[in-house]
Amino acid sequence: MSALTETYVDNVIAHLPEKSRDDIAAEITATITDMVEDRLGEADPSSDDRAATVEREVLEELGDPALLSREYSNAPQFLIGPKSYPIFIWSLRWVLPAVAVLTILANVVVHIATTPEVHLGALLGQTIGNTVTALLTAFAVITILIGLGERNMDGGAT
Amino acid sequence: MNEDEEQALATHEQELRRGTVVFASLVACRRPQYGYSLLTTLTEAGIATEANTLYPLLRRLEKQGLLTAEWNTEQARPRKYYTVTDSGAEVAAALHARWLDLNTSITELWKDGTP
Repeated sequence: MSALTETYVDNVIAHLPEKSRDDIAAEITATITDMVEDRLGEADPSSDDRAATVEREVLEELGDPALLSREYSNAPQFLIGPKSYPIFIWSLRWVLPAVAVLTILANVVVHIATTPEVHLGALLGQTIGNTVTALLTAFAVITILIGLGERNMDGGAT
Repeated sequence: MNEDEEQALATHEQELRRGTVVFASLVACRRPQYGYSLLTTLTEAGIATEANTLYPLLRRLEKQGLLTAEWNTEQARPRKYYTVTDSGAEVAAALHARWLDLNTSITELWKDGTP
């Protein structure tokens, strides 16, 4: 096994679960060797140049090791997938406006009730600042909750 | 065909192929196959398959219990051989029946639509 193949295989298995690494590494290595040998055919095996070119070809055909690794791991590569997307959008559409309205109301009421002399500028500044924070928090909470739900819904990747 | 049509065709062909690779692999693995032998068997049979999707697929089918895998270390190079299991054979038979049904349906549909 050449250094190039070794590097490639290491890159594929680096992010895979530990228990399957050795097995997958051995399998890909055997496969790459098979492919290279088949392509070399009867060609003089001592011509290292040719072997190196073919090896490079084979690895290029197998493609980006990160992509191959992803195929092996089969883990979801997204936070919110198509299954949760509708409920995600639905939540955003209802929760965000509600949060905005409530925050604005609460801020206005509290400001007026607690400040002896109401300045419109201060009221606006405080309300807008708090509303933006509340909206961002609500967005984060919805995203995290539904993202977690997505992972449980699949019952773990098969 | 213009470029857009070609692009669309390529996408649809890929979808079609993706669905058939599992079936074809199960059929081919009635005889023990290692990764590269399966790839060449499929290619020779006219079922174009990409190496980087086929090999991970074999492991998935193994996890689903449709294939069993065993390392054969008797040869010069150790290779992992995949063979279809009983449930894999059942699935393959069911897929085959669906395939024939589909073929009939498409033929009918095609005839109906042809003036």
